[in-house]
Amino acid sequence: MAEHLRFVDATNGSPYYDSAAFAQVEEVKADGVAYGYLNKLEVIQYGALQVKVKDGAMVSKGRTYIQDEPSDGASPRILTLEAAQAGYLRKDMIVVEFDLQNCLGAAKIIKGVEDLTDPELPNLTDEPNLWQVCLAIVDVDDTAIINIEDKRVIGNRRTCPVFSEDISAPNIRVNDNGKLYLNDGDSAYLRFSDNGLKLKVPNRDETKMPGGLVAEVVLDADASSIVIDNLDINADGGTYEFCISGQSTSIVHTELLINNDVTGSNYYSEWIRGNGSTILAYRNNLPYIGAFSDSQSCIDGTIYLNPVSGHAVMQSSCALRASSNVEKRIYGVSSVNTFTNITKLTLTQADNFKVGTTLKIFKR
Amino acid sequence: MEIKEVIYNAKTKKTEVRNRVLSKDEIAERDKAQKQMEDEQLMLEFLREKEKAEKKEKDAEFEAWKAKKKRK
Repeated sequence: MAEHLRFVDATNGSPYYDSAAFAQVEEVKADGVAYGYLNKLEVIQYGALQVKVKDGAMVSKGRTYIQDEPSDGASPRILTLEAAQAGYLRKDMIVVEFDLQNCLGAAKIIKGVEDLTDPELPNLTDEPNLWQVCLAIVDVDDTAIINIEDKRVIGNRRTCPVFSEDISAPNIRVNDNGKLYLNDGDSAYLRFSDNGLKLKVPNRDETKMPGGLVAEVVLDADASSIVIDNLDINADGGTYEFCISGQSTSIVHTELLINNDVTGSNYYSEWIRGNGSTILAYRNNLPYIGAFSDSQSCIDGTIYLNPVSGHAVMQSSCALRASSNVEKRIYGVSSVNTFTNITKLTLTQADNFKVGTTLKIFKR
Repeated sequence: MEIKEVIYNAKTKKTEVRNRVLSKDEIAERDKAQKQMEDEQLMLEFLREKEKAEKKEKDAEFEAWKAKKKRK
């Protein structure tokens, strides 16, 4: 009962696997650290310069690593780190090493490069017969461990990998059977994308979004246009979400142009506006994604390519800044031309973007 | 006419600022957009005035209807 690597070819009948070994692997089958199996290989501090790797299992490239000795058991997996030189810092990685050549699977330390202020992470080995998967990053100084950052990617037992623990929102809980629970009042849903099933949480912490931040621009001076280049919407899941905010004065008529098609008349936009009693509508032969001319604080929306026609589609909304005068406009924009990818977005505003304006683009 | 562009590279995560002179076509596009914007502004002003008058009329009608309903 300790550390095992399963499965490798036998030489002269060794290693030998019995049905229990196969059953154990079936139990944990998934890519990443097995969710709900023992203590998920959590790395915890033990002594000043020691860590324990808790019991658990993981799969990588079809090979299964199992550590079934509890951290308070007879021979817990304890790893001892070296102290850094006086005044220096270092970032070490606790990894599981898969060594097919020697039929070994083991948790070990990969030492980083020391530095006075900004230590570098070590490089992990990634070869066909020898590779390492990081469980945690451990910061050490000249006397002790100062931080342990959990880097485990959790797989989902008995189903396809859905999401890792590090993207869960504060109000979402996952039980040991992999079931998702939301606290009262919250909403979330799962959606399919090219990269698998993703969890979408409306009130998410952007740093923990499934897709993550693609671009962020904060203007430190006025500018006529903001260009986001080198995008790849196909690789990024097919849809971008954007938010323009932070401008000290009202955001006025804002255009969003796709790739190098910067001719405004190659787009049509239509807005619908409601103010609590009446609805108005208007159409422009321009890619307007917002806004009121009088008082507006932000524009947010989505961009994607129509999967059938290839026209770029943008949907956005904006509201008046004053809460006492809530008025909402919803914009729909479509390109005349068709595209196979979106690699560039150009935003212009009739009266220039002002200092402080922030543009954020997310993968969905 | 010179404009200031802020360009963000999504791959390198780097931002650069570039001053660029607009081409004749771009200036024409800009003028056209300006005209459309002014038209939209005027139309909105017109619609808002119309909306106010209609609301006044609707409110008066509603008050009369409410009073009639209470009498019943």
